Amino acid sequence: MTKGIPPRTGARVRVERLIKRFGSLTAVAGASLDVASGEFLALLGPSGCGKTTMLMSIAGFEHPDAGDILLDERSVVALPASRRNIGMVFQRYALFPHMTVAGNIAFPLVMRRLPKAEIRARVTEVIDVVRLSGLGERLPSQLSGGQQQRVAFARSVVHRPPLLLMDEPLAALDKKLREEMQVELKGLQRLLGITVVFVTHDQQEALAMADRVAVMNAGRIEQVGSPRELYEEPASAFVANFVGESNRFQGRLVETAGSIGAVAVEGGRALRGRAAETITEPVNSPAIFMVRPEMVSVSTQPDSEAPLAGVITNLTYAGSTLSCSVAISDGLSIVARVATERLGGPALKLGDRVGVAWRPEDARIYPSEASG
Amino acid sequence: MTRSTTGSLRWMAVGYAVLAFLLLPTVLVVPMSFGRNPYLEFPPTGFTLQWYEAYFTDPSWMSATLFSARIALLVALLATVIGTLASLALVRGRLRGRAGLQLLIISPVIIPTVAIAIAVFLVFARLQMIGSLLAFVLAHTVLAVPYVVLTVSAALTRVDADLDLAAMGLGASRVEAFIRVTLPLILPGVVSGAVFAFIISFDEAVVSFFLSGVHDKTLPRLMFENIELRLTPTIAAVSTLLTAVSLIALSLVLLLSRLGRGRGQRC
Amino acid sequence: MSAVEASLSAAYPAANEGRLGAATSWLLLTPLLALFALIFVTPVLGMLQQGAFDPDFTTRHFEQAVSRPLYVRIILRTLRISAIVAAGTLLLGYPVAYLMARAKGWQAALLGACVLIPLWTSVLVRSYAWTVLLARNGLINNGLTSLGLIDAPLRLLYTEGAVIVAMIHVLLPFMVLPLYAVLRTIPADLMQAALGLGASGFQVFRRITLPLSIPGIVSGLVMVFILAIGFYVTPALVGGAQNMMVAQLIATEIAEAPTWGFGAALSTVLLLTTLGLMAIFHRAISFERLAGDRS
Repeated sequence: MTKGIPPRTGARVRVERLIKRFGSLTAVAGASLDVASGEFLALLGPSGCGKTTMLMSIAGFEHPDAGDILLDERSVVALPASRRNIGMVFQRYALFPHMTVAGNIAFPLVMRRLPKAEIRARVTEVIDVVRLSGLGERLPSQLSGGQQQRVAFARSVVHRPPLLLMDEPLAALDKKLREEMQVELKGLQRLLGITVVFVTHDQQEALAMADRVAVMNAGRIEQVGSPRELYEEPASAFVANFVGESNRFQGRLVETAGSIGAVAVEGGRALRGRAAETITEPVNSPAIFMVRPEMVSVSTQPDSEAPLAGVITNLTYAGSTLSCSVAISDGLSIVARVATERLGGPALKLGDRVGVAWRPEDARIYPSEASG
Repeated sequence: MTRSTTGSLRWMAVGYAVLAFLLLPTVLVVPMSFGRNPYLEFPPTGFTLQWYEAYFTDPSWMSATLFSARIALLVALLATVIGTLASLALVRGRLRGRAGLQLLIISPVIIPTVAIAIAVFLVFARLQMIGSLLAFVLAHTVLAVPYVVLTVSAALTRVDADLDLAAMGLGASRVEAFIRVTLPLILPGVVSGAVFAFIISFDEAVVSFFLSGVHDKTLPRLMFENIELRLTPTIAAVSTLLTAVSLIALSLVLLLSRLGRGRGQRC
Repeated sequence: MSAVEASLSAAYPAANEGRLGAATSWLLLTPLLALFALIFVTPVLGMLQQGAFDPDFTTRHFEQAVSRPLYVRIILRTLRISAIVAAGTLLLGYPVAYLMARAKGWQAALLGACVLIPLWTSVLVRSYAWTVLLARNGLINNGLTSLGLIDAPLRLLYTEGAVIVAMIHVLLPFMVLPLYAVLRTIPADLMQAALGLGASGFQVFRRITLPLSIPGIVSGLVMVFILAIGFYVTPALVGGAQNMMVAQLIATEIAEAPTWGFGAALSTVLLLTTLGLMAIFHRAISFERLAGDRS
């Protein structure tokens, strides 16, 4: 039986060509987003990429220099934060230390001047939904990190806002608790039907929780897509590098035959992969070759068919997978990850001579960017 | 460790001796105020409350005390408001020239009070405001504000600025957020500042010396005249009472600072 | 970044800064700035003007201050006394600060209270206590007489010695607090390490504690000296007219002279001297240090 708060339609959020500068630093350089009603969107990127500034702009704590922000097709960019009717969870929770858990959660309802009886009822409801029953009269300082996190969440949804913004809310929790909360938060979001924009620098977290992920780099959005799209079809070298692991080599584009190309790297080897759509440059231009370790197969019988052969320099056993680093030539080393059950024959050892191969359509070639 | 222990024992003795030196003179005034002899002497003989009686029944002492108290209350109020607003700007605001501002704000503490007193006297004398309540309140507020700013700023930096943002995101206006979230958390600091301001004004002797008129004297000014003439132990009684007030104020502030350290901690 | 800026930014961590817009910040500062402009800056400038323009620009008041021997004596006396007082507070204050820094728990709190109590007591009360102590039939004279050390009471009050002792008493906390703040930051294991390496207690002090406490020493000396040169109440009550210091001279001039030009000029000189010392030693006087001292 689903207790409590009836689902409500989440807001549709549109950000159009947002620009925000701080002095000479441009934090957001013309980014646009379209978040569907009820969607869980993660804003993913390294520190300094502008994701928090984006979030703060949507919240109303930063005033953009250019661009528009629309909630349910209404422009809110001129509205102060207190009038946008959103929920927000901060990285450090920002719980009011002088109020009890119930007092904290009741705050947005008090601000909206709801009658006391209704406030009491709604607060009790929410406390039960986040499984903090009985802790209403405690002070935040008397709670554990995970409990504080749940109070912060409860406080941000009790007034049923159509949009919830979260700024790395799980960063302060330890790994196990974080993973538990990821599942819990996602469940709560689906239950409430609320639109969520979630900022994180942890790509694992983004992939696990989000319906779609927007990857940001240096103030721009590089790609928006489902976790799977981002992982399997990264649009740029940055996204391929940031999301998941990748082998990555710098070189020169040497041939293109249809959509398959080859990059010549140090030592003269040519690595074949699928050229990204952004490859328009002619042959001989700088390019980046990337292939994920799990796409690289290892065979103990290096034969003439396997284009590359080398010596195992490192083996890392991780339960269900085995990672091997294979040194092909001076300076060129590829990491392959193999499922342990698929390894037939004698076990691999350091120093073994093996061949590595991949299907060209599983690898990617991108134009070389300055920061790439 | 024994080598250093004996050496440090000697230094500890010196330290305690100096502390005694610090406290004794003030402490000695107390028994004097209960002495029977009409002229000042130590050690006093006999026990009597007549000097306290003399203080409470003398109209000039009482009016001076009330005058000082009125000034001090107004100063506490004014300095606290002005100082708290300034602290908000200094701690949370975007300011250019913050360092210069802060130097300006603490300058009344460092600059010789005599210079300030003279400067203020020259202005008020020309405006014929010598002895007026307003003149005292304004001058004392200038002297007290730096202390309020120091105390409130210290309290404010301990409060997470995110709390304000959180409150506003939840629907509070800027003023509401301040009143419901920030102010309760810095209240010990604010009250401390107010107590500070009160005591500074109440005990203030130098500016009072110059701004007092013939009929409008503050308590310190009256005491100053009496000490110079060294008449009766009534001064001792007044001093004892003043010290008691100071001690109460100091205890209050220490208590509040202990309270304040527990609040507003980032959790 | 000067030391002032460094200590200031330490006082206000970046997480707090910049939350209020510039316009709001200046708005919040307006009452203070208005008050200071009207009651502080303008009067001080007026005082400067009155000393230098009478009615046309003239330096005769300033010249008078440094030419007449009486005034020169007073100025020199003020500097001399202030220097002695600063040194005296250092000698007496260091052991106290050291004690406080080494004390633990409630003892530290008690010692701290002992230093704070005189600070919070009115200067008048403390000066008055000295007039009582040093009087003809005050405690000291009575004590010495009953011990048989003297036949007739000594003239203790209204001497330069009295002024020095009383001022040391009043200004001692201003030396102890910055010293304590610095001594407290010296970790105990530094001294233990030195002792373990064979240093005597005295050597530990001379080579480790003392050098590390120099910032506090300088800070205290500067503060005490600056406060001492402008001191009024204590020298007036304990020293009298024969041991006049600059502040008393200024007060007399304003109170008795028909025109205030000279008094204003003297006051300006005192002010400028203080500002000059502050400028030279600004590293020693910081917002943070004062905040630590007072709280």
